[in-house]
Amino acid sequence: MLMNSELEQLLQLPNVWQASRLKRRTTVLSTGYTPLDKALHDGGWPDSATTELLLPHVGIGELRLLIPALRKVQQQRPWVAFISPPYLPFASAVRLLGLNPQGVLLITPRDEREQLWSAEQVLQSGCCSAVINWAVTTQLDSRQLRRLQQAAHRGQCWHTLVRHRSQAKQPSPSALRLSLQSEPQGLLQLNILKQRGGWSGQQVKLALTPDLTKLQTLSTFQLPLPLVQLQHNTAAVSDTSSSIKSNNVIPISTP
Amino acid sequence: MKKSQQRDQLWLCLHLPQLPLDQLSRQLGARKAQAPLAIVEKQRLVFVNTAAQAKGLRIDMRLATAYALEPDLQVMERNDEHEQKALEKLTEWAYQFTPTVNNKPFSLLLEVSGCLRLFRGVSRLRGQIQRGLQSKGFHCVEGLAHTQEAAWLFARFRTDNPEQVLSDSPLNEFVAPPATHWKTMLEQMPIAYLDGAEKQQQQLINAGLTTLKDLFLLPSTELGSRYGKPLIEQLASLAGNLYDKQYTARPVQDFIPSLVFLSYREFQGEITNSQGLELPITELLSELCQFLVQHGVAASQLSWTFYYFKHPSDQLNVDISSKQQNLAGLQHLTRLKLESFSLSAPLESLALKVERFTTLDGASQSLFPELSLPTEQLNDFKALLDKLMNRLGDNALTILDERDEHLPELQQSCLAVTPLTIDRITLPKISNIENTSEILPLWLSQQAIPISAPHLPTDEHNAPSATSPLRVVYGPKRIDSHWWQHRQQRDYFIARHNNGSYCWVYQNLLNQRWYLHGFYG
Repeated sequence: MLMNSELEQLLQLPNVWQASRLKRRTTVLSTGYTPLDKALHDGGWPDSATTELLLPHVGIGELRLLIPALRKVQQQRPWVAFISPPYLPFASAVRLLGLNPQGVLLITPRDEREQLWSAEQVLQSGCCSAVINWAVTTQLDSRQLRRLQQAAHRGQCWHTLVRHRSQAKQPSPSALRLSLQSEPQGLLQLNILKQRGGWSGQQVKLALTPDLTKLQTLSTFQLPLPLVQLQHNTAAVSDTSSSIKSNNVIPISTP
Repeated sequence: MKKSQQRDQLWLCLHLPQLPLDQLSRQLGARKAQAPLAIVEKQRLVFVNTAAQAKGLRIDMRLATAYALEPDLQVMERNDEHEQKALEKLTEWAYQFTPTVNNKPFSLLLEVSGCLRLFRGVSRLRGQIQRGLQSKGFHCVEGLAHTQEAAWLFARFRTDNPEQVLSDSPLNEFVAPPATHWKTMLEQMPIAYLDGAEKQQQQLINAGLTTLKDLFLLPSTELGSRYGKPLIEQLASLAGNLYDKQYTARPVQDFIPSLVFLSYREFQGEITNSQGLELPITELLSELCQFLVQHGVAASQLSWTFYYFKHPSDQLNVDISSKQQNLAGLQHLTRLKLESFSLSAPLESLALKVERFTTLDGASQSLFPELSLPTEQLNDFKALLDKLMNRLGDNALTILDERDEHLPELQQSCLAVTPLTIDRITLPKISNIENTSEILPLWLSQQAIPISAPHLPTDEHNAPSATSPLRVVYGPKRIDSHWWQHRQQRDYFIARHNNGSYCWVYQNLLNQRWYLHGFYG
């Protein structure tokens, strides 16, 4: 009993930080996926803050994960900025998912410094409803991360930073950090590494990209394919596969 | 129009007797302008500053003599074109006081009868204009009269005879005095101040005429037949409605300020790096800002030209889509553009030219306002685009432009975002997700990447092989197009890479090769 009263006294002190006392944020963006919303303390993507997505390589469904929320925010502010995207978004596919492709501003900076600068400018201007920033090959230090986080806060902009999985161990000031891993059968495994307002470690599996339940049945169809094995393309294969594995980003060539 | 109805005019002439010298001192800066300076024309001095006068240099002295007297003398060849440009710039500056402005050689003319009340009296107005010119480094002598010609004449007379008192101040500060107020003063002016050939003036003096009064007393027809029409016209425009004679003055064309801003600074090669540009750029931009405010417009492109001594000039254009009149905004955009620019050689001069303007108020409204952004939001967005474009270059910002085509790579193109295109983009709201069975990849590779054949589902083990990490999970969807030119027949498949990502691949049925075309991101 003595112990408890001492603990009580300790808790009364104003300088003892308690996660449960932290004010819950009022504005969140629903992710559009109920299991993920439930796993997040605030029930959605943190608006006016940075969310980090840590991936082994691009193209495992990270964009699809963001689409439902992007669709929602685009109705308020029509501009969404993609900073140094790995490839060109396919306008028809974007439109099919309910996002307006013309509202997507593609920014292709020449180097790392320009990338950070433009991300900061776009975030704090408050003109865009969302900023997705691909920094898979860049190493960001915590000062740079903090600046991005502060810019997102100032501009009240939803910021998503796509980074490589190897950066997961680095401490980061971002409000939310998710590690993404693709599973067989097209499932996407999400591990919450950090979230504001409480404990982390939640794991969520989402069926994403593309709808495989439909696909698996379709794939049993007999294909009218002329099965010709080609020899002279083997060099190209190893190139492509290695480029995907090593997370090298194929630069977008603008006409 | 009857004369009784005609309002009395009041012209203020600002005579700049040392215009080329003032210009030179301005370029050199206050400290260097203290040294002996001279303007030379045909190897003779035409203008000398006070420091040079103190060394004994005089106007019309030979250049060789001048150098003998003062070896450190700085000279500049006279340039009529530069003088005229400077005068025009000053006339535009004077446009802020009154809408009726004009210029004559070495002089500015302002019709001020309409703005006396606004500037709280003629003496205050004169003071304000004087101070304005002084701060720009120009020396001026004033003349006030009821006509342009008379004001100009008074100003020149006063320049040459500073000791002689001309009582040209009107009795009432707020109302232009009637023409008779100037009569006696005008009549005692010597004939030498008429604007005409020296020969003619000599003729008039030889005829025993000394002052303007002598001329005005003579019948105009007689004068005209003897000395020519220009003299009569000049007298008429001098006198205005002072004499009820048959003088017909030539209609005077008012100065209409052109909507081109051009200003420059000369450096004599002292500036070698972009840091040194900060000050001249700020000066030029503040001049521009004043110009913009006066004309009620905003600049849509600043064009900087860097001139070097022995090197082709560089041009740097700063595009501005937001309507900005403030110095800080323009400075910021210029600085961003300059970050990626370095001088090719020591700088001789820097020019700022603005030819494209947009009106501030007459913002065009979209026909369907519900489809476009609110104006304020759009302006913020444009300001952002300006910043990005000036730092990242013109090709860094793009949006996707959709086209009605069959082949995926032709369905879209990257459209560079410029201030002009951004206005044309309307953003239609997409009401609902289209319900379709089609599954398209979110990422498209601009050019299909050749790959080897992926594993097909007929493969029993479904195991990734060494030759290809891709395994087809869905397909095909056939696209057959462009039979009219270069036929494209493709079967599209969805394939799974063994790292977990999904790819969009196709087989070109014409050459049987496989290509990777997109990713399901």
